Parts: sequence; structure tokens; C-alpha cells
Amino acid sequence: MSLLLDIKYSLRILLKTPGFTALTIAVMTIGLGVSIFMLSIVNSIVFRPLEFNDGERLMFINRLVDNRVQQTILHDYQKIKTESQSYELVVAFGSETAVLSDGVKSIRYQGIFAGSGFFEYTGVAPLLGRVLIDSDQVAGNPRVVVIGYDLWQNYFGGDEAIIGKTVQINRQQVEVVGVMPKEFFFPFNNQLWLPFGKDANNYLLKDSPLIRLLAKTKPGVSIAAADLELKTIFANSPDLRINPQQNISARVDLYKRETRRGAINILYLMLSAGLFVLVLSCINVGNLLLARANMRSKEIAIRVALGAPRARLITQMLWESLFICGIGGLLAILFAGWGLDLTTQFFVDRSTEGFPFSAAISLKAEDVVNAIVIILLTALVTGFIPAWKASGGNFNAVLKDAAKTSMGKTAGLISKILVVIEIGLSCTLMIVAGIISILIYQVVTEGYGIDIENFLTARVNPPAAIYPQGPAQTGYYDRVLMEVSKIPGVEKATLMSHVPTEFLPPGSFQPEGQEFPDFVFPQAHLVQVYPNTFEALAIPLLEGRVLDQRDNLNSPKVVVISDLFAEKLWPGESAIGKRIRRISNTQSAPDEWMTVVGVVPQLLQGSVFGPEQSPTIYVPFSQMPRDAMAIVLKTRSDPNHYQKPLADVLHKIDPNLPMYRFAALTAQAESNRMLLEFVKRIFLLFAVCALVMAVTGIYGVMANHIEQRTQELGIRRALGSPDSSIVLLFTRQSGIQLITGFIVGIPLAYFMSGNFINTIGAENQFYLLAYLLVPCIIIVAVMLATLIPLQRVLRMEPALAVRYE
Amino acid sequence: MTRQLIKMDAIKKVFVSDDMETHALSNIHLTIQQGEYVSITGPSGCGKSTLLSVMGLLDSSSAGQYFLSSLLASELDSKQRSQIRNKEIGFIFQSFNLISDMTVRENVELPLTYRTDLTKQQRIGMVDEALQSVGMQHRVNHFPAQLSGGQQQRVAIARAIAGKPSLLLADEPTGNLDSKNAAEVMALLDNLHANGATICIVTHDPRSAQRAHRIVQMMDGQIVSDISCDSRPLQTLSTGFARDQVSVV
Repeated sequence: MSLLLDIKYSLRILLKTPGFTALTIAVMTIGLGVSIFMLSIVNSIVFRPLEFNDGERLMFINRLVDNRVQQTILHDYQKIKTESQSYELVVAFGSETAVLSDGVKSIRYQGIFAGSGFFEYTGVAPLLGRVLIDSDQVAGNPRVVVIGYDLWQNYFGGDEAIIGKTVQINRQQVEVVGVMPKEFFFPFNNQLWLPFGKDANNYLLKDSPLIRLLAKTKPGVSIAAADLELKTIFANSPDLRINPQQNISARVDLYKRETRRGAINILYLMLSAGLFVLVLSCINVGNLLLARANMRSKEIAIRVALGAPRARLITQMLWESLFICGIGGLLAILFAGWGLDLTTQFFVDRSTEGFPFSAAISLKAEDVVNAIVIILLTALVTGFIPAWKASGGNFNAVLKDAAKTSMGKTAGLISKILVVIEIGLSCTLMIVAGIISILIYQVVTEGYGIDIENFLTARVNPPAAIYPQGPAQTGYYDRVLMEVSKIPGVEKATLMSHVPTEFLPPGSFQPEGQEFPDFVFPQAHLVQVYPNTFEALAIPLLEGRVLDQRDNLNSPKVVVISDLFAEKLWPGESAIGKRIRRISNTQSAPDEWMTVVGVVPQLLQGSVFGPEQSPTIYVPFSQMPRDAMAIVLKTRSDPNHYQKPLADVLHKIDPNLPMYRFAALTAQAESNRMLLEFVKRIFLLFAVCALVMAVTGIYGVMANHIEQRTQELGIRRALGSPDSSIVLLFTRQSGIQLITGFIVGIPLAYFMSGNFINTIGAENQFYLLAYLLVPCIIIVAVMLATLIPLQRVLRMEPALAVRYE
Repeated sequence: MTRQLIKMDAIKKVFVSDDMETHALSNIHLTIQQGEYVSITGPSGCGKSTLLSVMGLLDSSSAGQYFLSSLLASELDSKQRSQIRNKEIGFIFQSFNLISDMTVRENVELPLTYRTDLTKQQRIGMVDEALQSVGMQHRVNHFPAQLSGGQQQRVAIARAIAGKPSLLLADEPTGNLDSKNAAEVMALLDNLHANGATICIVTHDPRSAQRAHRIVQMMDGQIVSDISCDSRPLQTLSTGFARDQVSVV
């Protein structure tokens, strides 16, 4: 019953001061909202187990070569499956292009070639028919395929009698044996699952195919134990060493964590920033509650005199913060849910290849439980210090009216410390947001090295069975180039393996005459190009010559490198005439030497973030052919208008060969930087929240502080103190808090942004702008927060101020 | 046979600030029997309010021994002191000290809510009884700001007696009242005493002081005189005073 009285009283207090209540609830909504939002994102992308049975036991295995992460090979699978005791299931799979055709229309999919146990790993039953079984893996048995729900609906019109029907995949007849449920996207946005059908016994180690390895740990086996066993197996397996001089090992981790490793650092930094905003909210509300508790010191003293135990007093005061945080938290959960929907839409709108995560980003029951825990903790944190302070005061003096409502020495000190922390954290967040904005601006304005406007790209992947490397493949590509060049409005056309902005993993290259400790060779992107690529993309020549028709299969191997690579390998020297060769981790012998014939500027290839941009080398397609190539068209107008003409031309050349990954180069660039753009937006949001909170928090504290000193200021003025000296008194106090805040905040920003810069991009002197501008903005904001309430008191007549209560 | 309620032996209270010590109470020896009506008087700053605070366990002494109902105050922890203040002592302050955001009923009920031995019904009964005894039962849903000073002090008295304490401590209870209201409040205290209450009142008003049956005079933190001004024997009650109805004058 007493509890109900306390609740009733707390509610009455809150309703009595609607402005205060609305402000504190708004502040808590912001703080809790951003932290719940960020926690849900991190949970969705990294921590939440796959939504399959025993999702917490689903692992991913990577090979480590000289401590660098590499894709596993088929022989690894065989070894682990034979020797490991940690797993109840080890599954191999690969990903390859699968062109589905019914004779009229051909669509290219990224097919999953799934090994034995693949569907057992997820535990998901098919919607129709069956999943792949062991006998499907046996060579010579009928070819089968399991299709996804979307493909079933879109390509086959949801045909209920699809099971048992035959379709053409990569020009081979395949029987559809199953349809997976709607929400099944594993391991990515895949819609076709075919038998893996590869046996390590059929390959020499040096030719062992690259695969992906999944594993499901036995119940009770920890990740650490499984990882240790794996490392032991690899340490005792010299037969897995393709190059005897290399150190090989492996690591196992949660599927989600392992496949999101690149994004984890950024997500953690964002989560930290979100928690910073929550801390700022707590400080703000805590400070306001402290000021209010101080104003209620007399009431608390009366309660003490009437025999209220301290614990009861604290509980009673905690109700207030519980209501503020509870209502703020409820609103925060709603806003976080809305924010997650917006986030999903953000990625869907920008990605050229579908939603970039395998799980939906959404608010789950587990996130709501986390949110409730955060809300309760926040209520405790914000309410406890004011309650503890207020309930432990000199209540006897308060009862005798000696202390009235003036802030005690300790409470004043706590308040000042909280303001300093607010300034420091706001400074940190704003500097980091500023640095990210500068980085994004640079990437957008100068990052690609060429003008990427009015380029259309699309990929084709003629199957080796129909277009084997040699005259058939070259003939196909030559014809493609000739025909697409004739499309009206196309100014230039070329073919290259990877267009600028497109991601490709760098490879290792050895310059002639240079040795590298531990075989850590320089890394570079390898791009195969048609001779006219440099002209079509308007890549200027810096030295030597570009690739041309004389560079063919029979001529000496040549290469054009970027200036970044030239400077890295031969600083201060001309690179022309020097030789390099590719080092392969999957081949025992290195490639042939290639002679550098030209140097061009570095273009941004792939990811817009990373510790360091890898240089690029260009080799003639004729000397290093490959199956899949990108068609690049320089168009006179909006490149999106040329998609249909391009599709028509390709269909005319080979109706069974679809093109894919249609996109304007600008759209692809936007898709590449969408994660960074997302990070930038979130940080800008955090920075705005931080600034608003710092200003309102400091304003609240200063206004309260100045109001309490109104009488003192009246006395000072009555004694002849000029307004300027009173202003100086308060600005000096704010100045001390500002400087102390900066001493805390700027180094923290340097540390935090240093982590960010290491993850996202290289050091840059423009970042100094953020270090200079942000403190200036905070100084102006804090000074305004000090001077506005002070002016209000200074406008009061001294006689009124002296009598002010 | 009267019971000794308060016994103070050589009580001292020293306030220490940064650079000086102030001796608020020096060598206080005082005994109060159950049912006594004692006034403590003296000039401002003589230590009478400090003595009342020590007596009411709102403050602790710097030296000496203080027994309240045979319990040694220095051996009580914070929780025990709270319990004693709640059950055994009723406070009446000069500035009423009602909580402005609580109604009359809630203010009077407040100390009872800190007790775990009372049901809601019992609390309601005790609140009604106390309010009736001070003639404020018709204003139960009013807030303090809606009452006159005299009415506020009556509510404060009701709050003080609602829990049937052993001792009523009043610190300048008429200090903020006009003479008419002051007289009514003092008459109310007289009646409470007549019904068995042990009252200790701090006042610098000689007329109020003389209504008590014993006047303790203080100066510079010391008791300079302790005079019984009533030859009547002290009343002895075997039951709590508040169980009897107290009528309003």
C-alpha cells in the first residue's frame, strides 16, 4: 500500500511540472532510442544466432596462411571431417554462376553447390519436395536442383507441379526436386542449390578447389575448444601445405561473426557512440533530477524527521526516474523499431545486389528484453545518485531553514563534474562524426580517380563448356565489343574484369630481385583489360605506354601498373622495364614474370574503406584470359536508358547467356559506399544528439545554478559590482569546465577516430578541421547556455534580486 | 509512579567548521518524566533548538549520554533512530513543514506509511482520529497551500500525534502564527497534555513557555534554570495519550 502511495506521489510530482517531465522524457527517449537501435543492429548483424535450429552451434571455418585469412580448400574439408571430434556436421559448399534457362529466357543466379549435410546444417525443411540427399552427390546419378521460393514464384509462376519438372541450368538438364520456404536465404540471397559433387581424391593438392566450410559443433563443445582442436589438426598436417614454406592454420568462429568480421569494428564503434549518447542522456537527466532533488531537500528532511528510512526515501525518489525512463524507453523502443525499418529501406534502396545482410535488421523479442534491461539500469543510474545525495544531506539544518534549497557543496561538485563529462563526450562524438564526414566527402569528390558519370556496366559469364578459353571465348567477347559499340548514344565501349568501384580481393605480387620476410608480398588488385580500356575510361598515361594490340598471347607478358604500386615497389625510380610476377597461395609455382610497360594513376577499386587502398595492375585479357568480364559503356546521356539496348544486343549474340549486375557506375559506387554512408548518417545523428544534449544539459545546470545565486548576484550589484564582472565570473567558470571537458574529450576523440581511421581510411590532414571546428562550436554553445540565463538575472532590478527566493 | 522518558547526562554538542568550533550545548543534564509538559526557553542562539534536535534524534551529541526510554542513543544505528523517530516521537515545527504536494490526509498518513505493522484500514482510522482531534477532518483533501497558517499547524500536530508517540517535540510551534491562531495551537497542546501527552516545547515566547508545567531556561548552550511552576502532581497514564479523545478548544 505504501508502495502505491509512493507511485501516486511520484506521478503527481511529474504531472505538476510538465515542462520538466517532457524535457527529461525527451532526453531519455533520444538516449535510449539510439542505444537500443544500435544494439539491435549489432545483434541482428553479428550476435543473434542464425534463425535455424541450434543457431548458436553453427560455425564457419577459415584457412589461415601465414596468419592471413584465406578461403578453405577441398582437402581441408576432407582432413577436418576425418580427424575432428568437435563437430557433428562438417559441410562444404561452393558458389558459382548458374544460368537458368527455359529456352526463351535466361537468368543468371549465384548458385550454391551444396555438399552433403548442407540442409541438415540449417535444419530447415523444404516447402515442396525434398532437399538434397547424399545420393544426389554421386557422379552419374540424375542431376537435381532445389530452388528458392522467390525463384519459384517469379520464374515458374508458383507452379504447384514444379517438383519433377526439368529445367536447364548451365545448359544441362536438371530435375527440380524441392522448393525452399519463403524466408530461407542461406548462405546469402541464394535461390538455387545444386549438389556439390566434388571429391578431394580426384584432385592434386595444388589443384584443390576453393570451397567454403561450415560446421556444427557437438552439444557442449565450446568455440575455443573447437578452435584449438582445429589448429592442432592443421599444425600436424604438412600434407595440407601447398607451398612448404608457408605456415598454415585455421580458425573457427560463429558463422555470423566470422562472415561479418569486416564490419564488426565499425559496428562496435557505432555501438560505443550510441552508448555515449545514452551516457549523455543519463548525465543530463541525472543532473536535472539532482537539481530537483536539491530543491526538494526540505521535503526529504521532513520525511527523515518523520522516520523515513533512507532505503525507503531512495526507493521513493527512484520511482520518478523509473517513470521518466519507462515512458522514454517505451517511446525509444518505438523509435528504434521505426529506425530499423528505415535502415532496412536505406540498404535495399542503395544496394545493387539485394539486401546486404543474410538476416533482416529488425526489432526482435530479444531486443525488447535487452531494451527493458537497459531502461531499468538507466533508471537506476539516473535516479540513484540524486536520491542518495538528497537522502544523505544535513536534514536538520534544512528543517531549520538554514540551508533552504541552495545546492550543497558536494551536489555542486557532482553537477560540475557531470557538465565536464557532457562537454567531453559531446566533443568526442562530434569530432568522430566530423572526421567521417570529411572522409566520405573525399571519397565522393575525388576518390575514384576518374569521372564515373555516364558509364553503364554489366557482366557476362560465358560458360567454359560452350566458350572455352581461346578463340571461342575471344571471338565471343570481340563480337560483344563490336556490337555494343554500335548502340546509338554509346560513345565508347570496352571490356574489363573489374570496373573501378567494383570490389575484388587483392593478390600477392613479387617484384624481381626483391625478397620479403615471411613471404609477405605486396598486394595489388589484378584487372584484366581489353586494349582500349584506358582510352574508354579516360585513364591518363603517366609513363611508358598503355596496353595495345601488340600485347597478345604470343608476345612477352606485359603489365601496366598504377603509380601507387610503382612508388611502393620502386620508390624514386622509373618502373618501366621492371618485372613482377603473381604469387598464388593455391599453386606451388609462381606465375611467369611480367614486364611493366606503363604507369597510370591509381583508381579506387572496390571498397571505399580499408586501412590502405591496394594498388592496381592491369594485364591484357589476351595474355591472361578469364571467363567473366564486365562490359563498360560510356554513354552520351543517362546510362540507365541503355540497359535495354545492351540486353537486346547480348540476347541477339547468345540468347542463352544472360547479363547480370546491370548498374550505372555511379549507382555501383553508391552501393559500395552505402555502409560508410550509413555510418556517416548515424554519426551525424549522434553528433546532433550530443550537441543538443550538451547544450540543453549545460543550459539546465547553468540556469539552475544562476537562479540559485540570484540573491547573491543582487547583493553583488547592490554593492556596486558592474555587470561585466558578473559575466566574467560565470564565463570563467564555464571556461574552466570547457577546458577540462576538452582535456577529456579531445584525446578520447583521437583514440576513437584513430580506430575508425585504421578501419576506414588513411590519415589525412583535413581531419584537423574537425579537431578545430568542433571545440569552437561547443565553446559557442556553452557560452550561449551560460549567458542567456545570466542575462535574465542581470535584467532584474538589484532590489528585486536581493529579495528573490 | 512516573516513568523516566528522557535522561541526558553531560551532553555536549560542538559544531566544527573550517577554522572554528562552536559549542552549541555544554554539559547538559536533563531528565523528563513521562507525562511532563516542559518548555525550553532562552535567547536566540542559546542552543534550545539544538537540544530539541538531539532529544528528537535528529542530531547526535558530541559527548555525554542520552537515554530515551532507557535506550542509549549513541548505540542506535541509523535505521533504529528512524524507527524511534517514527513510532516514539512526534515533531511539530515552527514552519509547519507540511509537504506541499500532498493533501492533508496524505501528510498526516505519511509517517504511518513508514511502518510495516499497520494495515491500510488501521492507517485510515488513525488518520481520521488524529484529524478529528485537531478539528481538521473536514479539510482532508485540501493541499497545505489552501489552508491558513493555523490550520496548517493543526494538520502538523495531527501528523505528530497520529502514530501515538511517547513524546511530542515542538520547536517554536507558534512562531509563524498570529496571536489568535497561536492561542488555539497552544490550547490544543494543553489538551494533548491533559490527556497524557509528554510534551517538550522550545519557545522564546514567555506566554507560551508559562503554559508548561516546567520551564527550562538556557543560556550559551547551558541550562541555567529548571523550574517547576505547577505544584500539581504529574499525570501518569498507563496507556497512550492519544487513545483518549482530545477536544479542540
